[in-house]
Amino acid sequence: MAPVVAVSDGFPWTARSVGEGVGAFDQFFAEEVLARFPSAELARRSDAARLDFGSLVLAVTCDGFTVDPLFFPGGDIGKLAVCGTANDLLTEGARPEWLLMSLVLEEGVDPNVVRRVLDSIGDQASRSGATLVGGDTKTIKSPMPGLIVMITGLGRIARQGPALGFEAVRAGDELVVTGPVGAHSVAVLSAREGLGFEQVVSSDCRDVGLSIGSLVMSSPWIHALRDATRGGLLGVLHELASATGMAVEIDADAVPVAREVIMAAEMLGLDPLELTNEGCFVIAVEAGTARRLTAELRATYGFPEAAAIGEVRDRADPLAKVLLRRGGEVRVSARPLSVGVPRLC
Amino acid sequence: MSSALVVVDMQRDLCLNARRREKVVAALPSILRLIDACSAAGCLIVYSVFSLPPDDEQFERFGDRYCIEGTPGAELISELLPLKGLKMAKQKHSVFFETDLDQMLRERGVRRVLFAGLQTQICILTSAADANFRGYKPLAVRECVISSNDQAKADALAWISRYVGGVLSVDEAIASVGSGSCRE
Repeated sequence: MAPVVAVSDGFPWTARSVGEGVGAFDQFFAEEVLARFPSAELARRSDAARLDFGSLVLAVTCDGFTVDPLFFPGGDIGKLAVCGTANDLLTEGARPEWLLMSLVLEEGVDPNVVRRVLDSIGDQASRSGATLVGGDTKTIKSPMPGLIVMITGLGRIARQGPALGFEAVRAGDELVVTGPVGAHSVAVLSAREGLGFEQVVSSDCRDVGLSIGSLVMSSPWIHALRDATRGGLLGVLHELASATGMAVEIDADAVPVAREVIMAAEMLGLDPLELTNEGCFVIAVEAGTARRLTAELRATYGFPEAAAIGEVRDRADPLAKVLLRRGGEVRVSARPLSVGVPRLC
Repeated sequence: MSSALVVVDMQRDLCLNARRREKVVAALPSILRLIDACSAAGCLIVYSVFSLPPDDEQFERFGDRYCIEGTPGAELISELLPLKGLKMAKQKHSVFFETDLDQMLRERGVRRVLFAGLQTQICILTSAADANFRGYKPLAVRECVISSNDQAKADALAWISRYVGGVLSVDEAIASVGSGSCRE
């Protein structure tokens, strides 16, 4: 069983901080969820559960999606929900085949908004090759009319060879990021607050498996992959370090970040490496294969800014879980208990 | 190069707030000089005003209520009256967000946008970025932009210079429009 991180030392989690998906979530998960529902599968903290029926192995994931505004540059809550589900299943080597959808409508929501979201869900499900097979709808009172989308996704694990997952990561493995980080957060925040960036930055929301699914299924030298959603790239690196007990060191200067995202992050006092992505994966690969993967991602799979960013190695210092090289200096990255609040007032 | 002046959110709720009142009083003479100079030069002058519904969702996020449409607090401060330009409502930080400003500037062939008002690190900053993304050259006028936090103002002006435009002193700004740039 992979170790579960207890990071809090008495920090009282709150509903808000748990929703941010970083340190406070680690505490909530370990102390409130895993303690009550102990299982080896849950302790893996994978983005999707692996259900082994012998001749059939399924990946299953369940996720709730909220975003304000519902429609943003590069996507909307419907596309986000299907792509997020597909990306979670990809971490286990599966594609989305069946979806169940639970909608929570907030009283007062414009029916045309609901129709647009449903159309978007249907469109993306079709693109991703998934069929909606069930679901539920409820209505709640809310001061701000909108809707919440919850999707359960199932797919057969098509991965050949060793299973994907942080358990498969070894010292010496190299790390590749598929694309520039931070665009989703900036696009959504800018569209919500009117910051001006919404016209030049679009969310990276996409079903990554449509591009690299076959590569992931057939490449035993790919050991693990994770989409860098809440908590961003650094969040994934911390999860990887905690799950494996090893150290992760990256060259922060090698991480691709769009100039406009750097501008917005600096304006808002945020770190691009901690911003949410919705179509960017961190991939751990066998030592010596990162350069090859990066070249293939750039040339063949539609990720022109993919980059090799670092490696996994034995942890010499128990506290040095994630190390960032920047400008020739190396510093230890601390796992934040909550994410920074954008500097807006 | 034709210029316009955008005076951002000089409203009672924001200017009379105890955190900013002193800074507003200090900046007003320069702002009025700049407005007069731009008016004399024939520049387009736009006064943006936050005009927010009583239940605007940003109130909860920012823990404050301000500039609610139709209330006295949403009015421009009396020192700016009579206005020498157009008043333009907005609902978000950038003066361009879902407003007619871009169209107004394009119709007049404006290429350079001077900014005065508040706050430097929020609405001036985002408006300057937005102006740049739309093809204008944004210029913040140092003595005419206001912030409750001096360091935040300095950081914001440095950001504007580094990424999207420039910063002028009020004398430089007046000299630039006094040369008849707005009539070109």
